[in-house]
Amino acid sequence: MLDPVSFSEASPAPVPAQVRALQLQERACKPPPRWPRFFITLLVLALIWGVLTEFRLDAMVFGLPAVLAGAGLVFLMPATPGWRISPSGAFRFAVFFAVQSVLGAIDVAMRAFSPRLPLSPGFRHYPLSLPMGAPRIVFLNTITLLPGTLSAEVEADEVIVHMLDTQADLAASLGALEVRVADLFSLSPQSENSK
Amino acid sequence: MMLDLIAASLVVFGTVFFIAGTVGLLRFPDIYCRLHALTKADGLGLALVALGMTLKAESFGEVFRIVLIWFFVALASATCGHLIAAYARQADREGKA
Amino acid sequence: MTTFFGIIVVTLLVSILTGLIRVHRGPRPADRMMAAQLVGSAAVAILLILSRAMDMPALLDVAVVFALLAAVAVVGFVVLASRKVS
Repeated sequence: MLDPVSFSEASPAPVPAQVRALQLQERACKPPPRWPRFFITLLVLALIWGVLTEFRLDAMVFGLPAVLAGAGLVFLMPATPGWRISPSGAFRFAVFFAVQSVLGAIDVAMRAFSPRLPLSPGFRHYPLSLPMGAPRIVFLNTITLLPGTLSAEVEADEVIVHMLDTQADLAASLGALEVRVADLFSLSPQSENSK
Repeated sequence: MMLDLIAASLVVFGTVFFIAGTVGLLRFPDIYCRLHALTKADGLGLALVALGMTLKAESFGEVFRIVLIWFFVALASATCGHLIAAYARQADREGKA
Repeated sequence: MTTFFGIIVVTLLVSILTGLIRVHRGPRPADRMMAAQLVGSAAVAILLILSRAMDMPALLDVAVVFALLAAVAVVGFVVLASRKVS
């Protein structure tokens, strides 16, 4: 079970939380080689620089060293496990992201303009079940765009969420977001999510 | 002409959300509520203005620049909101305003 | 269209100026920092509009710099302020 090859295929079956934690730890200890990441970063940065300067050759005097140094940062950063992104999951996530951020902004705008100022703010805890690394970071950053929630702090394996209205159903909205993020990284839904 | 109209309405809606952000920043009772106003309302405000301006852009380079600007700001604002909230909670715990 | 853009830009500027009340009132340093962030994103929006209204594509590059610096400012603030707190 703990053979590294078997879970490099990012599709964990429902497993007890302890085994799962072990697996995630193991996965975090096995960073992929950094050269592919270096070249991808190099390509992306070079493309950005190219479009910004309309591919002028004289601009490369500054661009080339900057792009090389930027991509070189890959070697200074702590190694993180790589994640597969599912294209269809990314599309569904983008739609969800767009709809929720519009709803979130309308919600907060209505509250701001309302003469009564309808707020009953407070903090709530929510257990994190997505694996460390990119999935968790995407999850935490998107919480802030959902209507009425803001990720305030992370403590151990819990996120402390600030809510504009503590009566709102936190588990439902964050649960929906978790499903979308798992879909984005083609992780299968995990059984221990439902605690 | 149609495109102008769509661009103009996007920019108007974006401006309304910027105003909402400012109103929230002034009216909301504490720092965490104000962060909601800032990250959500301003984020959508800028997204709408940026979308409207891409419709009026005259070259691919301009569209790319506008999208890049929106992407930087959107990426930074959620992370900055989290950082400020975490900092404020730390300050709360240590009993300093 | 130019008049329209003019009205929008002035509205956004008024919104920024109103937001400065929060910088004045505080009460916490982070409140002031947030108002500054508001100035940053509204300024980016103004620059996007002006670059079209005045037909100055270079203003878009100014907006790119603004967008990047606003994020650096907040991170810098949090790092320095946390050092003072703890």
